[in-house]
Amino acid sequence: MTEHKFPFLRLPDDLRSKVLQTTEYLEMIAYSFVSKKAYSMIQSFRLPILTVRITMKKQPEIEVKLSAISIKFGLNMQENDEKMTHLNGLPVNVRVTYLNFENHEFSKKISTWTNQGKTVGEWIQHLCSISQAECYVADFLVRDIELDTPTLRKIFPKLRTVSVKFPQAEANENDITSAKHVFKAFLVDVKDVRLEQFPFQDNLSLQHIGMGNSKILQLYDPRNIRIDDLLTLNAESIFLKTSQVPLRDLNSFFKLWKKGSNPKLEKLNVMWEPTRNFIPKWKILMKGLKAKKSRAEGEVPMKFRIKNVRGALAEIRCVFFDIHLAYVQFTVSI
Amino acid sequence: MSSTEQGTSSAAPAEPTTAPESAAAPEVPESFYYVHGKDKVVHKVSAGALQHSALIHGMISNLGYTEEQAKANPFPFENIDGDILQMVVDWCNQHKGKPTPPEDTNLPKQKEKLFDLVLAVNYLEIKELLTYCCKQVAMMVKGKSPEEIREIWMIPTDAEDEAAEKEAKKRAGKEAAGETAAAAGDAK
Repeated sequence: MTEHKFPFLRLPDDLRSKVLQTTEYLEMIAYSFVSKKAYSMIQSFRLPILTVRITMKKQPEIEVKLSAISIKFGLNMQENDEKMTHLNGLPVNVRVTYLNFENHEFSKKISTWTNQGKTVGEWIQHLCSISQAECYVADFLVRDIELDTPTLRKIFPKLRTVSVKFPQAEANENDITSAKHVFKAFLVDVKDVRLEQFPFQDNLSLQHIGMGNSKILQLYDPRNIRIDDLLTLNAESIFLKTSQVPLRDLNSFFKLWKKGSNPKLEKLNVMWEPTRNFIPKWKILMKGLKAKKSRAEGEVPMKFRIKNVRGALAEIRCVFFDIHLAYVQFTVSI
Repeated sequence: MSSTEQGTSSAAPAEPTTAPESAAAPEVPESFYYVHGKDKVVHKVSAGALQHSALIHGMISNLGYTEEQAKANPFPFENIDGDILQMVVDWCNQHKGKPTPPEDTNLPKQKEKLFDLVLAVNYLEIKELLTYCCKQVAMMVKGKSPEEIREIWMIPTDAEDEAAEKEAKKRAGKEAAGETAAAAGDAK
């Protein structure tokens, strides 16, 4: 290295702090890896971290967001298709991508760091504990990873959002086990749950998983979902993207809502991609609901109003965009 | 190092020969003060330039020296190397009565002197120059990895740190034991 050296630690504490606060966030984070004392100093700065997003997949990623700046740490694991990534695995190296969108300008820097002698779990712990972020989010791609509940609890911070993604292919035993570990570790505290291609089964229904405390539930292309399963949830907002036409089930759901189920529900959006020649029969959806139509037939979106036994009003918007998209939006207005 | 625009450097307080040059001649003659560092070389600096230093400014406000008294009593900064003090004096002269720009191109370029300069500027409480100096230290590690930062800023690893602490404790223990033995010997 040709750079001139500088005896940084011989500076008084206040000057060291002043110098570090002059550096950019990326250098501050880099400095936190230099030693334990350096790490403590950076912690004392309370960096204004908005979100830390951890993506647990074959090559895990940790993204730290600070206002208009995003720093992504891509943990490059040994390429071995048979071996799954686990939290005790040691990355080969770390690809650091720095993105800055400040002042409507975009800049990008990519560099490669060593693994700093840290495992995947230690990288997560380090980056999550530099500063108390406003929000911690974790995505788990269950096919690629091997997890257990105690390690997850030990390593991860209190998460606000958890996303569990199953592969397109049929779920195997390991996928289900990993997902169960994630739920067991986090579902008590988590507020926002996102499930992708989730293979609901008799012993793995929404009730089994224990969705009781989540406020937001998003389901993308779930397998074997029954709209009835949504009835017992306490979620305030539910989003469902499905491949099946759910009009009959939704009709039952709304009937039960009118009778008083799902009292906490504020919003339900159900979306599906219609097949060719599909024409939605909104009459099936509205059958027996005694809904008041607030738009003329054929107008997009069609709007209906229903009222439940508690006197709460809700609006149902029915939208159909040819073969591209159809959705039903249910919004409770007090 | 050449002497500053307004000042002269010599081993003894120098006779002010020329008044400071500025765009408009001041109505009241500017007062000058004298400072010297470790090398005892005296620098003549105008009060306007010294305003940058909160420390010296405070000293001047309290002293109320006449020109003769100031000449006879240069401010001694024995903890600052002569060449570093020269750099500071140059910077103060260059920025006399001017608002300091956000990026300063007049900063001393010798990186090997940066550490001493930072300490001197901190001691003299020259806020703007300190900010620039800190920026320059920060720039040394821009875009660097943790290992590169450790090397450039000469930071020991945790293992080295622990070993050094152990060694220091050991040494302190030995010294304490030696002192106790000596005290016991004296008592006998």
